[in-house]
Amino acid sequence: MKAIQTLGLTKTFRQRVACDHINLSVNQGEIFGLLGPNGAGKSTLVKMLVGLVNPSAGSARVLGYSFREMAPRKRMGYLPELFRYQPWLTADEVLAFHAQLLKTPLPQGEREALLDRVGLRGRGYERVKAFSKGMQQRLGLAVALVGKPDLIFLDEPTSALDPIGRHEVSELLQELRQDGVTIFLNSHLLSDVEKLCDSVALIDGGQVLYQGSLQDAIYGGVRRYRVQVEGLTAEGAEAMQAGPHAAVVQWGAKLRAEIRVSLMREDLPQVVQQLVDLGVKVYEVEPDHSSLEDWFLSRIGKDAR
Amino acid sequence: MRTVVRYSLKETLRKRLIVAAGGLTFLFLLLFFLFLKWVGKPPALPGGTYIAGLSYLYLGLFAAYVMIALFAVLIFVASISGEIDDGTLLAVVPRPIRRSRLILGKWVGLSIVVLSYTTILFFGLVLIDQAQFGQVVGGTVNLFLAYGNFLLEGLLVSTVTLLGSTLTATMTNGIVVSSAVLIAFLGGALEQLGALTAPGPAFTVIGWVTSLLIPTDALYRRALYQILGNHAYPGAVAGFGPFGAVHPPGEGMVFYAILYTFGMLMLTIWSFGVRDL
Repeated sequence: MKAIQTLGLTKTFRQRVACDHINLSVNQGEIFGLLGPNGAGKSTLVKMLVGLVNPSAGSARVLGYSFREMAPRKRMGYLPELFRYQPWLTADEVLAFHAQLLKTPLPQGEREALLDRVGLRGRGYERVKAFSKGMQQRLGLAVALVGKPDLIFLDEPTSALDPIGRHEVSELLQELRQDGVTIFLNSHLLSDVEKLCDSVALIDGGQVLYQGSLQDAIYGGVRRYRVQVEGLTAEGAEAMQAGPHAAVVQWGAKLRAEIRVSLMREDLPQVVQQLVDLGVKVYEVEPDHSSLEDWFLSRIGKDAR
Repeated sequence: MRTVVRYSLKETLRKRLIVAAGGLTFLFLLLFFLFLKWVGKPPALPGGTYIAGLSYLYLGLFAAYVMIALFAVLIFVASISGEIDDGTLLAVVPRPIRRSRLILGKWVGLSIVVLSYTTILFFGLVLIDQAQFGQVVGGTVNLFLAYGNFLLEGLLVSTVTLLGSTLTATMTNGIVVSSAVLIAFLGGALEQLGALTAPGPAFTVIGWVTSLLIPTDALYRRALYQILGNHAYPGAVAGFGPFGAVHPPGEGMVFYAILYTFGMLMLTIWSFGVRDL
């Protein structure tokens, strides 16, 4: 069973299509990253899944239930992008309030443990109105964890946190993954997504451009490699240049050369073998630096930012 | 739903709304008491004490009518729109609670505050007035019928404001509902003036139309009429002109107000149910 499965989920605001027949699936126990430029429809998609926005068409199943039912909501947590909690309550009371909405017991000891887990130890009896934005976001994480959910939606969960806070949240999310919790992460911080997520989806203009594993996103397809060799002859260089990977040879001193080649990762051993067969010493094979950000920009295009 | 009721009440306490409202109501009743004390009793003319008592009671009840409407608007005006604007509702709605329950919880919780305020204000005014001028109201039944109309007024304004809070921005909602209550009063005042000076259908139609739009004034005038019963001194009511009830709304208007309130509540539930947050 998938944690989330959407089928043609669509939302139209008057004439504007925010989400256009979104088909996504999220496996249980994984950290799923939703990526896309501003206005791509990410938050609308999350809001439809948690019941804040009514879809215009399509359906979704969350934790095996129709997303319109109350049942999955008992097992999920949500940290909104605009995180604000009742300023007239204490942090402890906010957690108690959400536990009561869930109709689940949350003794004081557990409330304290939750606050401790998000870095708010000893702040439970302070009114929320006295909290900084970062502290409110930490409280929001604690609220999302009330009731030990199986699925957590996090919409920009580290937007108000300092680097230490971001690191702590990363650790927390990894702990949750180890506990089998599915995390749906909507974040602009691609480095966080790259570090944490098992799979990602990229949406733009309300449509899914890519969905798959993060590894495939970054390392799938053709990449450029630099191969440092010694002993390459002119005939060998010609053979390489005439080969299927359109190698470019740049000569250095003492028969040393750098071969630049663009190929699928799976074809790399074959190229190295070809060089070895030519009697060339291969010193280093280095992929051009690539990251989720490179991939994101290549798929969306810089104009979209 | 009980959780939402409880936290709605807690919110009014924590925000010191109840303390502020209680303090100001006490101050208002104290001023009313001192005012009646200082104006003293009128010369011993036949029915003079009664007419004076009735005049000041009507003055007080007019103030109560305005204050209850204002209080209800202020309590409810940001109940949904404010929480949407500041984002607190975004963490609550995804919880396993139906939106209809959330609305009903807010409505019940905050209405308890409005109805408590109405009760204190209404009985405070009547008690102070009667302590000074003797029995003015018709009897216990009349008193409670009038009280019921004031309660219904508070509930009606509360419900309309809650509906507005699911539809529009806080400030727009406050302005629209306050203006509607004022227009209803002006329509009712014209109807009374028409009944006193120029008996013709035009003024009556204006009163009806405004009462159909929002029947707050009809409830207020019905309360003025009902509080007296047979105890009214002949011709006394006519002397209050646009602030009186010489042409009181019928019983049907009370039923209309009940249906109106219920309809508005259903509309609020529907409106919030389909709203994207």
